[in-house]
Amino acid sequence: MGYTFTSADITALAHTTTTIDGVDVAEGTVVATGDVIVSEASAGYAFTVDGMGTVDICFVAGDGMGGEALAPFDLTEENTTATFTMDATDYDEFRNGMEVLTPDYTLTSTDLSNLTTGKATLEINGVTAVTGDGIYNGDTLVATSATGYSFYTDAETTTSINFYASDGMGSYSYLGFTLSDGNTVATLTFTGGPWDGLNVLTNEIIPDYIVTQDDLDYFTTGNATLKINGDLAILGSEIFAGDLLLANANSGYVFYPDDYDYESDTEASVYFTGADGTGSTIYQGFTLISDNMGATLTFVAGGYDAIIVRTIAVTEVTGTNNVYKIDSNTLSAVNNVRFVGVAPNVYDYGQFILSVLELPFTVDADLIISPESSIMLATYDTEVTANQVSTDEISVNLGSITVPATRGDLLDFKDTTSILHLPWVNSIILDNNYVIGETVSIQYDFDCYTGYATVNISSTKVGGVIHTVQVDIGINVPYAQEVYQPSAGNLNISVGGDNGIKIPYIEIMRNDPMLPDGFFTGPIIDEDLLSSASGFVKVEQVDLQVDASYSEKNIIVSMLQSGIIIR
Amino acid sequence: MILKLYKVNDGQNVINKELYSPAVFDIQVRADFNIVNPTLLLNNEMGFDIRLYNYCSIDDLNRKYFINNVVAVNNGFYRLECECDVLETYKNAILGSTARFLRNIRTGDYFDAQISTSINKSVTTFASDMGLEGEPTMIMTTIGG
Repeated sequence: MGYTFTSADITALAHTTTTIDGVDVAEGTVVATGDVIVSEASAGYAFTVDGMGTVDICFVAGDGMGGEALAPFDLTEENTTATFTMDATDYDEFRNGMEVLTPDYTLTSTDLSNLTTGKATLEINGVTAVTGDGIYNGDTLVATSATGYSFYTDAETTTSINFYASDGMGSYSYLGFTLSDGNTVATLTFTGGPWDGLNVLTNEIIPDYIVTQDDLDYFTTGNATLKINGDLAILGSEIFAGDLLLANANSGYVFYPDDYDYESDTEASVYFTGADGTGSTIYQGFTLISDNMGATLTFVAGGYDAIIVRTIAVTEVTGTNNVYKIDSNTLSAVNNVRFVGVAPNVYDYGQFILSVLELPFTVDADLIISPESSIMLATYDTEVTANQVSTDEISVNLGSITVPATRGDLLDFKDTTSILHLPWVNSIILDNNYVIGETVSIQYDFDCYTGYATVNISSTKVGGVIHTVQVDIGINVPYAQEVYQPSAGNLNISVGGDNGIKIPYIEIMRNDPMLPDGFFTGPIIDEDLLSSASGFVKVEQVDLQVDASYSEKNIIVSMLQSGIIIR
Repeated sequence: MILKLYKVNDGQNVINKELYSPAVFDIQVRADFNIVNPTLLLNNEMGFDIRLYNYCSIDDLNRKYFINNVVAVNNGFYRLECECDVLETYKNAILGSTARFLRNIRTGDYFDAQISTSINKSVTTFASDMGLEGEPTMIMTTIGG
């Protein structure tokens, strides 16, 4: 009962989509009683009906009298869908007839020219359109504008991409596409007609804001960066409405708290500004996030002409103390103004100087607060300016040292000493296990009041600190005290002297093994099947399981003890 | 009984000897044949240079032998004085035996073994990828107002 589709049947269904209960028909598909076959003609095709009204798509069986009985499919009105519910007949054959339909519209060279000049491309059912392509009712048309262009809407024509038809009396009807993706994609399910042609009009997309050099300079001096949709802003970066902007304050800085007054332009942190054309200033502020270290904005277009960025340095200095980066001229200037009053009633504000140190390295620029500010000695403003340092404990990463385990065996460790040499610190012997085949990292944490440094040595062996050393590194710079005596100078050099080392290094000292790979060296004691060994092997004890004679066993054991070579 | 002659360069104490240039003979053995140290009489009808062969095997006996001496008897007959190679004959059993033995160093061996070392020390240095950089910085700390 039923029917099994053949290869020839599938060929006959080439211009259709034919399914049985939703499953595509293929060679070998069996149609059982009750199955519903639905065959939909491809675009531009229809099922045929002969002059007698007989539907050509049908199953064929013998009529019992030497002739044939046809079982035609049911067709829809437009002959584009054929349906058949399989009955109990055992059919011998399947037949199909199809015709190519006249397109409802044929793309002309003018249409393609309109697409080209309109900076757009068109696909018909997913295939790029060319001149002469037929378009049928129900076809899906997708037009895409070129990069930098978008379709624009038009009140009269519905959209700027449409099919149009003239009524011959000066009036037009239109079939407009539906725009999406910022008017860069136009979609249409084709219908109606006849149409006279295809209109395509696009506009060049004008950014709502273009990043200027002044903006970039503002971010640089403002100690912040700007990203547009995740990409770092550069000169000429374009900003469109809806773009996600993210401003990040540099390390050691935060944006001002978001409590500013746009109208008075005070305490502003990061915002767009511009003129509204009536003499007033307009603003669009970012929202501060991450403890004011970041600021976000989903941009809204509005005629802005600049981005304002302001950050403040974050200091991590104990109490009300200050740390200044100075030079000898600054120190002299402070000494000149520290004494206030007329003798004998002179007051020395120098007593509020806690320390003057020289650190043997350049303090990271990220820790230097700009611009310079006046050096304060308690409440006394010296009016001598210097850059503040944002912390009173300066951490310096001295990098990491990877020591490879070159052999991958005991000889990497045998008679080996690992010595770590550090700037201003006596050499440190480290356990080989923390060094060989591992990475050792070093960090100095300087106390700006004392010049003491805590040196933390870490190893990947334990994933943390393995050794800590405290050393006095800062050189005290002499300066006059109230009683006109210099403070103690350079007393700490004996504790942490300059050993000339700038870059830490690990010295591996090793008594090299003699004949480490000697064929007959054999220093490793092992207990296993002899098949696990190779090369020269000298057996101490063996559980010999062999059906040899007693004398042969003795010979074997003797040879094993003398040493054999297993190739 | 099939006798195969070979040439061997490996020493007596080698397991998995490399045998090459095989020559095959059909031989008859006497009733008092010594299976461990046999003396074999060989008819060299094919004209092999028997003196170049130093190793042989008799598959019927599952044994392999060193050829210690080759004596030309007469009319192409040779007498081979052989000695059983116990390492090759019982190779599978020997290699399948558990033993305590000394061997060479392998990757992953971290036992503290006795190894003769040089009195001189070699020195290798590994530098960090960062250091104390730039000119010294003078800082002043004050009590603020």
